Amino acid sequence: MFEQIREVILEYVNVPKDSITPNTKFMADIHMNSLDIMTMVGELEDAYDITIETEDLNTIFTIQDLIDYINERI
Amino acid sequence: MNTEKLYIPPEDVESFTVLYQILAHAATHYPQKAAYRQIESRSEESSVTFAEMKDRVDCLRAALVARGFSGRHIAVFGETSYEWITAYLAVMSGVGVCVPLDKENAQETLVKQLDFADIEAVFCSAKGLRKLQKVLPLCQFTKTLFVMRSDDKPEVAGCETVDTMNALIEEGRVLLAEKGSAALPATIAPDETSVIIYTSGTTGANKGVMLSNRNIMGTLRGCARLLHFSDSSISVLPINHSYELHAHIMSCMYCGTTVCLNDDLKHLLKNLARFSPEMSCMVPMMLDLIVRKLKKQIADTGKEKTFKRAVTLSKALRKVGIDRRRQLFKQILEPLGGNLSMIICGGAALSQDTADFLDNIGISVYNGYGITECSPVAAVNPSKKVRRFSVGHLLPTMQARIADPNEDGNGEIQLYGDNVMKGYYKAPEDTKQVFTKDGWFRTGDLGHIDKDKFLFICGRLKNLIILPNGKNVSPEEVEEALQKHIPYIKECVVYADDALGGICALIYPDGDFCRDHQLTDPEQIKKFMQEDINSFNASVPSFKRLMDYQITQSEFAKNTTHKIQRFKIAAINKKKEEKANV
Repeated sequence: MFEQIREVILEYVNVPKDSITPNTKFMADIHMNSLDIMTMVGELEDAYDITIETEDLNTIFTIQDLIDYINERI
Repeated sequence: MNTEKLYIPPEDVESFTVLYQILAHAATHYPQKAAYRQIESRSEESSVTFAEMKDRVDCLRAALVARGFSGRHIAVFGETSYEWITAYLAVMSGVGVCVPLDKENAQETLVKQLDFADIEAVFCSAKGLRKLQKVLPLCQFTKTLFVMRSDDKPEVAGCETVDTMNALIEEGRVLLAEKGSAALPATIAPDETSVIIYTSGTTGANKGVMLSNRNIMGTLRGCARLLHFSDSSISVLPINHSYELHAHIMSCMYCGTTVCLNDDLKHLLKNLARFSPEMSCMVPMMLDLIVRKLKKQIADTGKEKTFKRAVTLSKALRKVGIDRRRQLFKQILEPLGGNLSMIICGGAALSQDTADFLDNIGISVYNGYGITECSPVAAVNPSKKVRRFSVGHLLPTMQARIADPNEDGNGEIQLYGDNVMKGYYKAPEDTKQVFTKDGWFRTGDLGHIDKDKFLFICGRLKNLIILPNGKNVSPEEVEEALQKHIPYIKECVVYADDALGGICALIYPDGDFCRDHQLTDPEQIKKFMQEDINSFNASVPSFKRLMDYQITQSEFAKNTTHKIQRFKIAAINKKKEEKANV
């Protein structure tokens, strides 16, 4: 799952692939903005056939947070 | 695919003073044309025609009058849907006062807004119900709930009546069959308050802007005269904002445009591909995302050189009146549905580079300017002639003047005309403050108007910094100049530093740039930037020079229309200063 999320992230930001780890913070580390995160989440909803509530994004800061959230729902 | 011709407003529409006349006109002239298309589930979609919309609105009006809601305040709460639009049109068309609420509001804000606006009933989406169920027991006056997009009638604590919108529509249908037009509200007064819209609050305070039908019609008539609306559009911004609701969705009804309703901001890109709209209304942040994605797509396919050559060729052809952008860049436009050719942009400052990129590939960007208090549009770049760096031509329904212009001709923009609000709800003192003695609305924005009536904005009056030497600095003007001078500054906020007696900046640099230059911590970035700051300082008058600057590596806090919440940054700076002084 990490690899797939990393691939999606790379469509939004221009960073070296290896610099993205599970502990990478979306905003602080790779400077994604709020709209980037929203639309990236929309892409992942389709990929995993789940719904990610917008309000829940307030508690998702790192890639690992997102992986845990998705794992709980698939 | 809809084949009916694009609707051009005829002369009689020009004389309309209430929105309901527009709905009736569209239902008569384009009865079978889809007014709205919306997503019901991942695989299902529904649509409603203009004739069906009018029928639903009439049934709802009849039912609301029969249930005693004449003159009452009714809120609408939930995601964008044609049911939301039905409720809005029904309430504001002779029944009572409609109050759109932001679905992203915190619970305590919702309680305050429902009580402050004296809301007696709420139309709420099934999705919004989860939030509202916790809110309604705390409200003073809201005792009735109408559920949209569901046939369930849940028990809601604090509510005396819970019903569904569908049941209400059927009730109205029976009343109309029995009594005919006598079941409908007797009149729709054009100048009475029909809508109260809460401002989004970049200043930190929410106020209820009172708008009449005539105010809203001012925006519709003005936009329709300057812009040629396409046959289909997509709604992606929050519907409770006047910009999306009036400048886009209601203007589309005025122009007979089918509006496809995006179900969630998360699905913005996916739904552009799904609906293949020809136009949209967006904020700059969305345009920036689209441009970034397209540039990435070009880079990933290794076609950067081909793209540059195609842009050069296209520009040369356009100079001699040949426009081949749609053919040359067809493949690039495909992920956006392939038909997108026009975006109206407002809500925040637009980067000219972003607008130019989109224009080069065949998407015309019409930058505009508005304020909720003006229903909301005051100016927009016309389809016929876009003026770069301008926020557009003054709407024909508005008059503008510049108060106390400085040596550059910039001063406060003041407006007068049909679009201007009636005032702030239950806040006469606030209302008095924003109107001049001779009745002009003080926008609080700084700018100038050129001889052709194009408007240029350079900042906010309330943000104006008055230095100890008496010189005035518009922070927005310095921020723009700074970003232009140092392209790797992504966002910045300029503020006054009393101790230093001048201006300072908080800078959020471009992440990609920092990575490419192996700049990781703020001190390192600050050191790297120093030379460019020095060069910037040398290029501006002494009072506009930065005395100091700090680097932040987090995006600035923004409101729901993605404007930087300057007051929050000012509060953080103040706290820091206080801490330093202890």
